[in-house]
Amino acid sequence: MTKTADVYTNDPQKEQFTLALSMIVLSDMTPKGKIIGPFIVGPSNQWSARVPRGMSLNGLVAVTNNTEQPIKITRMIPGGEGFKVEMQTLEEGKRYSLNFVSMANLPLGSNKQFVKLMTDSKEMPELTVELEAIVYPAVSVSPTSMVFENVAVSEPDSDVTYLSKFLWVTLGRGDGLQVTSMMSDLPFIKIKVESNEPSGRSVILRVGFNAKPPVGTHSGKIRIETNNSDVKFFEIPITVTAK
Amino acid sequence: MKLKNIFGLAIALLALAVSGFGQTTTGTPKLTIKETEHNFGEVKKTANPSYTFVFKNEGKVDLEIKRVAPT
Repeated sequence: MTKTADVYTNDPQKEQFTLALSMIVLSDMTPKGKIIGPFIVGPSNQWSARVPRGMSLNGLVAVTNNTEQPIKITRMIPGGEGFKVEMQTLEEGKRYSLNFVSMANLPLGSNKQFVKLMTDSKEMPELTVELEAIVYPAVSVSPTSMVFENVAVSEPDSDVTYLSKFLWVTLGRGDGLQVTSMMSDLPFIKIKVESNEPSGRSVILRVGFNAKPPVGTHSGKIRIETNNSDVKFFEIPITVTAK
Repeated sequence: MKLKNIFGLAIALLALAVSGFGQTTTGTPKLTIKETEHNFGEVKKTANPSYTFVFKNEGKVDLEIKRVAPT
């Protein structure tokens, strides 16, 4: 950083001049991270994050030589194509960073990539950094199953229309989510939209009854259709036990 | 890092230095200064480095510092 000050005087030869102070501020003398051999890898040599399907995420891992002698990272092997990885030399022999971004087309679930850093250290000629992107559906629903137990229907004046439970349909990232259809193959089940979040990131559905179910256990499905091209519909098992 | 304070100190010292060398006779002030830049090099975040710029008035009349505008 550099700071300056303009000085004004009555000297006709130096009516105005500038003083300057500069320095390199070392943010932290001891970098934080996991010690692996002669290196400190921060935040860790195992990096993991969750991302909705169709989106990408980026991150950074810093590798610092924790010894007095310089250790060069001579080569970086990305180890896959799930992440685009670039290595930046911050201070040759001392500090390096891995900058990476995950691909947007990764499949659901865990996607790992092992980045190898080749060094000129005899103690650790190779350092591996594990990257993981856990891809989850662009739209999710919670809970993933629904159970109504001990629904009282035997009494003539029993009322089941007040019974209900909620379903949350949530967009992982972005906005504009809409539930376009909702139905159940159990004829006495009623589903309606309880509320739409103004941002369009989630929709709350209320699942209840429009009629008394027959005594016994009934199993079926709730089908929810959305306007999301990645997750066009969900089918959620539902069980009703009426007595 | 209180660089503005450092500049404040420097200017105070400047004022003292100038008053010792200035004289109220005819002519003009003549400011001399050895250096206008200083590099501290690498500094820890918690350090509080300081530096003094030394000015001298070799003229015949008092040197006035009219204004200092730190950035």
